[in-house]
Amino acid sequence: MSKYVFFKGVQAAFSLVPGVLPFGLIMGTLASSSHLEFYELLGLNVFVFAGASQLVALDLINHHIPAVVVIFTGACINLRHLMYSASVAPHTQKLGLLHKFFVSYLLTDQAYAISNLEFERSTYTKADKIIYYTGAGAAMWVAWQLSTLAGYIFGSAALGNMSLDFGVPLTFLALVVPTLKNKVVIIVALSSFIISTFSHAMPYKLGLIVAALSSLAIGMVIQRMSQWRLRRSHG
Amino acid sequence: MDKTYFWIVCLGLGAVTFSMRASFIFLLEYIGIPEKLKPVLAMIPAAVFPALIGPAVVFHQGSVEFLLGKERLVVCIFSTLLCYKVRSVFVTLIFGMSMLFILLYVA
Repeated sequence: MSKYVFFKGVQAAFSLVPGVLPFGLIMGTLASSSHLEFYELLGLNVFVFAGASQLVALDLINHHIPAVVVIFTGACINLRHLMYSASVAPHTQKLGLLHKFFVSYLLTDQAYAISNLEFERSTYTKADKIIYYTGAGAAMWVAWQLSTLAGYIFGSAALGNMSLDFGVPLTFLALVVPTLKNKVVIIVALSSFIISTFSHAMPYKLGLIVAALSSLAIGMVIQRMSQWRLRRSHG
Repeated sequence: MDKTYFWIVCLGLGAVTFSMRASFIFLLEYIGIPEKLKPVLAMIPAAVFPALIGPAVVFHQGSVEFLLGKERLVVCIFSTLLCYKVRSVFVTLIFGMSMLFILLYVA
């Protein structure tokens, strides 16, 4: 039974692999053009295992940005994993430490998206839900490693002139739009977009951090204000 | 490239990222999820992703003249509308890439 559930998870991941493919190809290509050794790319892929932050981090490394700033920028980009962790945690409480470790490690945008969908509507037991998630997560891990490998080996030949690099911002778009469920979040997204274009020229490429944290702050303020107004109107 | 520098970044970012992923999974039974934190957590993707998308499409110099070279921005706008309707990463990707190709090679 659980092997079946595991492969159902793997299968569910297939629909998201097309999103990872251009990402991985670009990562591999960038690693190659940055003259990264293969084992260094492997290091990023295994230790960090977070595409968006890896791409930005490698770009910053190529510009000799101080390590602290690179790590902090990568951390900002990966803040969303806190949200994913909070969402998945209730389902993992009964697991052993090693299992919790693997669930944590495999927590990517795609694994989260898949599990979110399934956890809410499926009739699987809690144990089976985690197996499903592990299947999806493992599939994403393999897909990521293989596509970066392809990008590294074949380099720009893989991308050609096909503007595949647009797949990266497009994937981000497809991941964020479904989360825009209320006015506050939409304002946060718009603020982030606008601020990032203005802060684009900042030194050390700090514009990203500035945009992310300030739009988050804006959201928190608006959230507080609307709660305060609600409390006032109820007397 | 300084190897030490690279590995400091790689392992540092790896440790930070893993900590975030593991945070609530390991700590839930001790700290729970504070009520006030929940709406903030939900805002994080909206705070981070547009900051990645923005500069990538606004400053990209494309080749479609009637769109002033900003075809990627235009495709993003239409892709956003579509994504609202279909809520599928797969469909949004196919749509966006197709629209871009059409603009680049047909228009």
